[in-house]
Amino acid sequence: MESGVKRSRLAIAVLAGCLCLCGAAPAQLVLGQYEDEAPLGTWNILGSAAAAAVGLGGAQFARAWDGSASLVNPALLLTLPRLSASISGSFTGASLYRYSLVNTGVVQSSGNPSVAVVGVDQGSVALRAGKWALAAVVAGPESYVRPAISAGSAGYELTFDQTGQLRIFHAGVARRLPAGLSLGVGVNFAAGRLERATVERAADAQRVVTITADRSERTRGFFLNGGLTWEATGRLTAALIVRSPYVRKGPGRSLLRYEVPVAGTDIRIDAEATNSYRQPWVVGAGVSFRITEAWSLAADGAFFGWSRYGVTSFEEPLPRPFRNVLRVGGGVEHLAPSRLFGKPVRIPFRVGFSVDPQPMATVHSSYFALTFGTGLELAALAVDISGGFGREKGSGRSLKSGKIVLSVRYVAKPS
Amino acid sequence: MRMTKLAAIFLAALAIVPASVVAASEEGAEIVSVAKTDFAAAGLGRRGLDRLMEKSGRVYLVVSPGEMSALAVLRVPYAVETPGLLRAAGQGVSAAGGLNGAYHSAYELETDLRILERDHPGLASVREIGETLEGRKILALKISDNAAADEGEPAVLFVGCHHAREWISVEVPFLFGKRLLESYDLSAKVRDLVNSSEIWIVPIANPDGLEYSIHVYRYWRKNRRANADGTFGVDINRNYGFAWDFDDIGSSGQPGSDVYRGTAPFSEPETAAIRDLFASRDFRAMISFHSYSQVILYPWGFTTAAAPDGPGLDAVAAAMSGLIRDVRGTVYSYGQASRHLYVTNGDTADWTYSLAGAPSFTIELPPADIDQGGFFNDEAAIGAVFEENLPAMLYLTRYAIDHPLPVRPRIRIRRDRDKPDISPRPDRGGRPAPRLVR
Repeated sequence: MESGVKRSRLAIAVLAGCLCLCGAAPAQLVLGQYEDEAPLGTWNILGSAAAAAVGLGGAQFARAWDGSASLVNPALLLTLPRLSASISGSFTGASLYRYSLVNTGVVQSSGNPSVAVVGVDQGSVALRAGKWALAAVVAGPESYVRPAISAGSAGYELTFDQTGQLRIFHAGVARRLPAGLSLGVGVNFAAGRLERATVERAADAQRVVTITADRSERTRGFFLNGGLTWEATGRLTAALIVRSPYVRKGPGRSLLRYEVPVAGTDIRIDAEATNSYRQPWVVGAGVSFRITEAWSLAADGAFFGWSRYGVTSFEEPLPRPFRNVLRVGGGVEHLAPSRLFGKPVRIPFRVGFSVDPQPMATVHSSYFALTFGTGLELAALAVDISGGFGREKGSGRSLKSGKIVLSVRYVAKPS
Repeated sequence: MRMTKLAAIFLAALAIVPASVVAASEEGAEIVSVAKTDFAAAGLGRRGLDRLMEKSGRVYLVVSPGEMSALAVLRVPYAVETPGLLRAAGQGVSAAGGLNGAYHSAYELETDLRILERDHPGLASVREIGETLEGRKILALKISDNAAADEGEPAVLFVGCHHAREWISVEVPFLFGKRLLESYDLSAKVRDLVNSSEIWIVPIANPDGLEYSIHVYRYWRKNRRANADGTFGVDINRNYGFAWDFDDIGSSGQPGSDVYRGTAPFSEPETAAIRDLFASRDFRAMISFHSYSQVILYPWGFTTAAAPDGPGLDAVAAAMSGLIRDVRGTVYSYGQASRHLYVTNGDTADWTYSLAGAPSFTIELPPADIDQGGFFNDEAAIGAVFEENLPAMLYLTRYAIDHPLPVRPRIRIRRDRDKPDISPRPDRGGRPAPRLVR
């Protein structure tokens, strides 16, 4: 037990040294000027990474820990135990500078407003039998929450609130092929929700004037994802992944209202329309390499075709001058054997980094993040906790982002 | 569905009784509906009104502006049905809708201007007179009998939406252009105006601001200039080159102010676009539409001293006010801007007037006050606000054709650092203008 602890400390020291050489690592998103639909944290979200993957800089294309891997590379399901289940929750925090009314001319902040979201990231079940494997996943990878505003003085009040999220319902299947190859395909149903309310109220001795702008939308869409995995040797696994482009669309409703009750004035503009988001295709490649029984590494690169991103909101195409970007991330894992209540366990230590360029063409902004993770692996149960902490460069606002993910996975029969 | 049926009936009626509609259209006719009970109680059947149809307990009538006024005098409640019927029939503005309802966004306006240009070749020409900071086009609609050519005819400018939140100010000039084009073949009066002049319409002078007002914050006023201090926007109706920065009452040097004048005269692409357009033609009159207050304002705005031909401006404003009132009784008061509403400097009307004395007006459209909506107008009121302004716009166009500008000095401001004053200086010959002291 004592020797195990020592090895763990050594591993941390070595990994920390590697990261210092790499420089600061990054994460999260820079919003465009006032896009409401930007996910909190980063535009470049693919799947819903398990805590272990988060600890490795988000690397998840060539290595799987649970069924959530099917969201990006279903072929990896064949590397999981015969039956596994997992659930992940996260705490996500991000600072933003320019969004909606904030720092666009209406409300000015002295610093970068921040917001945090706690929620369930994903739940998954995966089965493997012979050359086949299946998975079902429900995930909530994107949040559209913004820091709320409540400003005003005597006789005047302005409030703003925006909430929303994206849910993915996924089914994946994988088939083992000859020559160490595996192929997987996933079908995904995406359901988005976005709600935004602005209320401005001014009162004097004669009247109260209330201006309300309520907007909401529910969007839906289907897309496919797939992966090809090649177990080149017992140590080296390489993978290619793809996510199809797709359109998420659905009804949007808006109410703009001006009320002066004392004068009997109530002017309303109601609108209903079909809003749509043309999501880009994504292709990526990843590699996982087991150096020794205790040491391994993984790295990913994902290319997001944001230049073809498009938004139609309430019958009007909105300008989104975006560029394609390549997100990269990777990390090192060390598994330290130990004992708990007399039983053998393994304690993973993970560290990683990611470089996450954002798609806005006018401001080249990127998040550089460092990630860390640890956990406890028992015979049939594993707990992982990881955090990623990023700082943005390019916008001049030094935005920050952070995410802490906790995953619990259960395996009916260890592989 | 009901509107579609009504529209079909309306169109059928147009086909059957074109004479009445055409005759009425020359006077800016509208289709209105009144409750059948009111129709009978007021004895409207005996008054010779052009009865179109009955539907769902209402009687639909084709009425002239004068007849509409008579309905108001008789206290007969009526609803203007023309916009809805035309829209249902697919003849109304094609792109209206969305977050801003029946009002135009910059995108919708371009669509509709292009439709007008397509449907009225020879009479309508859409020109891109500038580009905004966010890359949007500033569009002008030129209406003339040979719109593609520069014939040197007297020109009149109607411009809207200097201020982003004043959505109604887009609709009135746009509908004016639309009405002129659609009435050209029906009305000798309109035909004569169009054949004798160049009518320039810039419905949205501030497209960036308007988009922000629609998508982010309804009460946004300025353009979308990113100021050095982190604030946004220049009030482009304080950015014109006459009396710019005259004082800190009529505009502000603080970037965060709603009346921030910008860093220099014409520093903004929006005002530069209007400047270049105005300088390129023989403009003889101008109206800049705003809201709200129901007033007609004429120069000067920057000083309470009277303009050189103040009485003449007052007479034109009085005539327009009377024409507006005649439509349905709406009162637009009028007067010199600085005295009647408030002091402004660097605004559109002062600048256009300062160049060569072109009669220049700011019309603050309805409502009269914030109790009735302030910068909000009910969508259903768009048609009525336009109709009441139509005779005034026609009048000013005629006035411009009939009244060449006299050769007179271009007025400039001269100030010293300690004691600002203004003194018109002749720079094109002609009589010296009186010295004005603030």
